[in-house]
Amino acid sequence: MCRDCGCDQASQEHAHWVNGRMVRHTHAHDHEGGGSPRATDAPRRLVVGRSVLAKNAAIAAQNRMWFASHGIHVLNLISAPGSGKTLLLEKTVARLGRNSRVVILTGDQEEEFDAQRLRAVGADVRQLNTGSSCHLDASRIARELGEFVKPVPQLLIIENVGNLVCPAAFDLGETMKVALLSTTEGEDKPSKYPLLFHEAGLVVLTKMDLVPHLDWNVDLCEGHIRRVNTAAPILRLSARTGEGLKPWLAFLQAGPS
Amino acid sequence: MHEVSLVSALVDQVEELARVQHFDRVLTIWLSVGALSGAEPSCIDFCFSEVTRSSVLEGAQLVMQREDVELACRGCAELSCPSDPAALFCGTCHSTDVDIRKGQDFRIAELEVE
Repeated sequence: MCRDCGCDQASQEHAHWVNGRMVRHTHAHDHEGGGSPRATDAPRRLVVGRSVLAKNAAIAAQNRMWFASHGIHVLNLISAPGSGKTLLLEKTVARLGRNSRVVILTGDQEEEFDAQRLRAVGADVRQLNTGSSCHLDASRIARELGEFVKPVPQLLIIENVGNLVCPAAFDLGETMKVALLSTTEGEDKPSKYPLLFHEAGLVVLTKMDLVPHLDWNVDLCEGHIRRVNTAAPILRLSARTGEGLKPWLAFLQAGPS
Repeated sequence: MHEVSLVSALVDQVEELARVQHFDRVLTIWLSVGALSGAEPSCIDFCFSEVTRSSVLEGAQLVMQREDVELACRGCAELSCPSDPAALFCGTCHSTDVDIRKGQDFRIAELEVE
């Protein structure tokens, strides 16, 4: 007996959609609203040529228009986990003060820890949990527009999920991608993950205060960045000591103009 | 795993096509996987059957074609195709001031449907 319609009039076998599921079975009459079974249709070829991420790209384009029409400058911060994105943002918020027009969306698979840390220093922040997904996508950002992110001129910083691969492939509609790389990572990471470092409008080298304790060569690292990106400024900083924070803050403040 | 979300996006796209183009089932899907797309063919293959279960793609044969990187130099205007996808510099004048013309996309090329 057919499990969808309960019929037992077996004739030709076919497969079609019932309530969002593909069902293979055998019967001789139509399902509710489903029309005639198409099992006898000959196979045909369709040339598609469509990007799998076309839907994300379309939503990102809408986000970008919304940001532009409200004078919102958007930075998408991308790095490996543990490179110091959250600490840099803590120091940034503390230095800019509560009256600065900065809002932060911070992405992690689970937990609210980053938002709690940033809120503690006075940040206007919302945590976005992505669950099993390893990156933020444009639709997740779109949900916050006009809600948490108000339609007023301001700086929006998106702290992406710690990951060097997928966030580089998912456009959020940002003005610029900022890549962070800490001195405890290999100098050759920009060559090993070229897409992110190629697309970044700014590369920040973090944890510079640790260099005296490490076998880490800043010139070698910057050489790897230049292999994939000739134009992006490179900032060396340490959020812990405050080294390099001034040019970083100047970069943020220059952005929205 | 990143490829799970890519294949989920792929299922969404193909289901939308199924509604518009009136097909019930995909027999074969040809994908073009850019060397810089962030999608790894072996990982797509690994999760494909699981992620496509109960969709029009269930049971479909998966054929993947790798798309190499093509660069356009902003300096000398020459096109080049580096054999190493991480070598993002012009094959002619070695400038790193290049546009990535191909190799970033993960595309559905063709479908055989019924």
